[in-house]
Amino acid sequence: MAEEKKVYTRTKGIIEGAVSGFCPGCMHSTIHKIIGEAAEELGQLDNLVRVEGVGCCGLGQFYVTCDETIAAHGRAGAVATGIKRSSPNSLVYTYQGDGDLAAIGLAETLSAANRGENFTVIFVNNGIYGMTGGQMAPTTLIGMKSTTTPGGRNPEEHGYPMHMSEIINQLTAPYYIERVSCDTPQNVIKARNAIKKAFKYQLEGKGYSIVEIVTSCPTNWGLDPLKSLDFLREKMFAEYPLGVFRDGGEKKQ
Amino acid sequence: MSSSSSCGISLYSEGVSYCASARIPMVYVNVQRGGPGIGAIQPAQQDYLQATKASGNGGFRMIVLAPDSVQECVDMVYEAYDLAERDQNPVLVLTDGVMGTMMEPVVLPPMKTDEELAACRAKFADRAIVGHPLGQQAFCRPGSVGDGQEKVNIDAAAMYETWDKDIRVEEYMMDDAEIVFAAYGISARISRAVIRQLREEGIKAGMIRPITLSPFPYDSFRNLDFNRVKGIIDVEMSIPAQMRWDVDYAVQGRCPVHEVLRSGGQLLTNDQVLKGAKEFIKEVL
Repeated sequence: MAEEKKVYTRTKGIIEGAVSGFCPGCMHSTIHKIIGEAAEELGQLDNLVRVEGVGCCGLGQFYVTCDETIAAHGRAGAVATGIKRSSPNSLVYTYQGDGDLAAIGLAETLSAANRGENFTVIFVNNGIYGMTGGQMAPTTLIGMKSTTTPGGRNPEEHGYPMHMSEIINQLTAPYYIERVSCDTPQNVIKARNAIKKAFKYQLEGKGYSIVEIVTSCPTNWGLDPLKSLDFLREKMFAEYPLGVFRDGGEKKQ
Repeated sequence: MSSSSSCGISLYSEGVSYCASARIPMVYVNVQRGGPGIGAIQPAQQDYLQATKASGNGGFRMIVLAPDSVQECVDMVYEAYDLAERDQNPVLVLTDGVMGTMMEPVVLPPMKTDEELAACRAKFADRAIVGHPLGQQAFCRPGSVGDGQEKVNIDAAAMYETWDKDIRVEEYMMDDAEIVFAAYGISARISRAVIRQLREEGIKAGMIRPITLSPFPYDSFRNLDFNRVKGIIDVEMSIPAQMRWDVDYAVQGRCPVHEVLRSGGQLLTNDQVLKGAKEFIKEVL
C-alpha cells in the first residue's frame, strides 16, 4: 500500500475552515493565503501583526489568525508606525486598498515611507473603490467608467492615474519596492516570494518595504472574472507594469 | 499621551472614538484656544461641551480633568495615566492657553518603579497586538459586527456608572456663601481672587470649582441651600457659555444664574469679573 504524503495544506495564517466572503474572481482570497504562507515559512505566525485598512481589504479581519487592529481609514501607515516602534521585534504589515492607501491615506503612506519605517505595506490596487460601490480611485485608468466617472475618467476633469510604487521610489528611505499580481500561478508564486522577501527584510531591520499587487475587481469593473483577467493583463499591466523598482538587497548600503 | 489645541483636538475625534470603542488606555491634553474653526491662537475655554459630552462619534464618555495651576497640570497628567489604565479608556486633561504659557514651580510626582511598569505591561499582555500563538489572537477592535458593538456599549455604560466615586470638586469659601461662582481652570483662578476682594467688602461669595468636568459634580450645585444662596455666577471664556448647561441642569432654576464671559481668544480680567459680579449682586442680594 503506497504511503500518502501530504504536499499541500491550507496555511495556518487563515482561520481553519473559514470560507472567504470575497467576490468570485477577487484576488484578496489568494493574497491572504500567500501572506499566511510567507509568514508560516518564516516561522513568524505567532509574531505577526496586521493593520487593516478600510474597504474590501478590511474584510480580511474575519479570516486571519494573527494579531490585528483596524486603523481609521487611510491611517494604517501611522498606526503601523506606532505599533512597530513600540514593538520592534514584531512582524508588522499593513493591508490596504487603493482608496485607503492613495486617497484618504496618501499623507500617512508617504510620510511612513519617507521616514523609512521598518514595516511592510501590502497594497492591493484594483483601480477602483470596491466596498463603497465602484467610485473612481486615484489609480482608476483613463477612460475607465466608474460611478463617479460615468463617462469614463477624463484627465482634464479627474486627473491622471497615480503610480504609487513609482512615487514611493522617488523617496530616499524605502528599502524594497515591487509590483506583482496574482493572475497566473507563476505570478502568485512571485507575489508570495515578494511578500516573503519583504517580511525577511523587516525581520533583519532593513527598513520600509511595499508590495503593490495589481488585482481585478469583477464586481465593480462590471466584467466576469475571466474577462477581468483580460482587462487586467491588457490595460492594468500597461499602466502599472510589474517588476522590482528597488531592492536594497541582502546587505544594507 | 498626546496633546493639541482645540482645532487640532477636533482632528483627534475619530482617533479618540476608535480608542474608546477598542477600550484603549490613552491620555490626551487639550490646551484650549479661541474657536470655532482655526479660531484664535490666544486662550479660551470654548471646547467644554465637546470635551465633556461628545469628543467623537458614538456616544462614549471619558473622565475629563481640569487643572487650575501648573502643579495641577502635572498631578493630573500623572493621575490620568492611572485612570486610563484602570478603566482602559481615554482620559482628557482640559486646560487652556493661559495655563499652557504659565510658569510656576512644581513638585514632580515620584517616578513609577520598574516593577510597577512591568506589572502594567503584564496586565495588558493578552490585549497587546505584538503577535500571539495560534488561538490566542489579540484583536484591537474599534468596531464589531453582529451584536458585538452593542455589547461594547453596554460594558462601557456599566463602567460610566462607577464614576461617581471619581467626582472631584473644590468648594471654596462655601460654608456661608450667598453668591456662588461656578468656574473651572483659569476662570476659577480669576474668580478666587475676585471672591477674596468681595469678601473684603463684606460680600459672602464662594466658588464651586469642578475639578472633574466629567463626571460633573452636579450634587455640589443640586444640594445648595437655596434659602441662603441668592445667585450663581458662571465665569467662562466662552460665548455662548457652555459649562452653564451643567450648572442649569443641577440648579433647575432654583436661583438666578448670571454669566461673565469672554471668548474668541480674549481674556477675562479680574476687573471684568468683579464688575460683572457686582452688577449681579446688586440685583439679587
